[in-house]
Amino acid sequence: MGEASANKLIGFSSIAIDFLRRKSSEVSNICFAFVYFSHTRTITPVEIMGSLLKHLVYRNGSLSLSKELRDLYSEHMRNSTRPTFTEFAKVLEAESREIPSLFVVFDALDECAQQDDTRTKILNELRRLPTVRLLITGRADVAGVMSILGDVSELEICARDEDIDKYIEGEVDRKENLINNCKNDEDLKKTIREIIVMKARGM
Amino acid sequence: MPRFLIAKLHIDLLAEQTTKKDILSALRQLPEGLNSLYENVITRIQALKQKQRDLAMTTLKWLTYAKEPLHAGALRHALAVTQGSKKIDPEELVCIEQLVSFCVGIVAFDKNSGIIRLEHDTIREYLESVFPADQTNIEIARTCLSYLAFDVFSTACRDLGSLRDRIRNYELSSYVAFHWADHVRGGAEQHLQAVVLTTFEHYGKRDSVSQLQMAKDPWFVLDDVLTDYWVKFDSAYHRSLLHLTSSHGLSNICKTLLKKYRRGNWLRMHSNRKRLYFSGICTAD
Repeated sequence: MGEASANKLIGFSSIAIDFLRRKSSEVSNICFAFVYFSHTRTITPVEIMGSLLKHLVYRNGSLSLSKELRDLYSEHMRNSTRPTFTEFAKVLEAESREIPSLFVVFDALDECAQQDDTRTKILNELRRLPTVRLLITGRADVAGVMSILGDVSELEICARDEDIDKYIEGEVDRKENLINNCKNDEDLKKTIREIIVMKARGM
Repeated sequence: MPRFLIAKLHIDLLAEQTTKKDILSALRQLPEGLNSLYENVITRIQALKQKQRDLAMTTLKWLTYAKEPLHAGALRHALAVTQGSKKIDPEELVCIEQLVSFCVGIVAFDKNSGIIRLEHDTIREYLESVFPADQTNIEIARTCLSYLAFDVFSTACRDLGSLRDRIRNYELSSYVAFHWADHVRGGAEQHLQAVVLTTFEHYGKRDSVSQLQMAKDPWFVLDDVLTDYWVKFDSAYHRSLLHLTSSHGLSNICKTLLKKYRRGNWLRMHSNRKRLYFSGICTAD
């Protein structure tokens, strides 16, 4: 959890996803899936379940189709219908049994509209899967994750003045005109750093 | 509050100055508040050469209103679409690093994922106030429809291999096939009715776009189960215009079509389809 969907310049969830991607290519018995939420597109619980299932089915770059999934597919294809949330959940549960560790990343869950209880429905379903490990990012518990999941560990990501200052110093040292103008003028550099740290504090 | 971004944009402002005196005076006049910081970015974009400015502004419009994270390749194609063109001119494709630099600090390109996006959600919120939703969606929808009007999409692919090639070569095709109607639906629908009807006049076009749309749908990507379906695709699919527009929830265009067709006619024409099925899932509006 942190400020504004975690700071996108740092891209907290992309670090996590990169890590999981590397890990899952080294170790065969883990699988990971991620869902990126955005308020510009409403995503339904059925779509989320479908998407998670797709990640699982395509794990390790190859396709593994269980009998349950094939049957479900044939049945709906025959009738020109689509699986329901409950049907997806059932297959997902069956599939996840095959995977010792299933990592799921929900990025910016607070952007997911709470209409039709999407968050509650999905989180409740995932909680039932025995091997799932969930990482959720978002603005400070806007998503109400705590009340749904109960026992979770939380890490607040918040840029501190020292971090910002270090960043500014690095940036100043990369811009040609700033390097030249600050060369024999430590005061100017100090002023720049002070003012911008203040600006970045919320102005 | 995107603190790193604020710091970065301020430093960019200072980096544009020439002398020490300019820097000091710029320091005194730094924008107050997030909105004026972003406003300042837009002003700097508007000061660019016309072509660069146009590319940057169109990019920002797409990134503000796109329905899903955009691949850089898809955006490059979107920027290369000109009204009436029948294909993508490879020489018109812009270099992505350059494009990011035209957007002076508020657009990021992630090399690993290939996704191009706004640096922070607060930028999108700001840009929504700069680009009115209805008007911008009309612009995006026109680009989508021009893209779908390309000759290459006038027939569906016969097999999975050629479909994959098509999706790879026409990098905007997946997005457009899936989301064109999202930009048409609502306020823009009335203005775009004529061009929608012309674009999808021929069944080959409708089949081809439905096929692209389907290929993106997680439900249909399971290769081996799909093959069987694919064979049938060619002979039986042919979606009608009404079928297509209703499945996308374009209720106003549907109404026009229903007025136009004599009832008996279209029912007979599509007697082999479960014709009301797709109309049934048409959105409630």
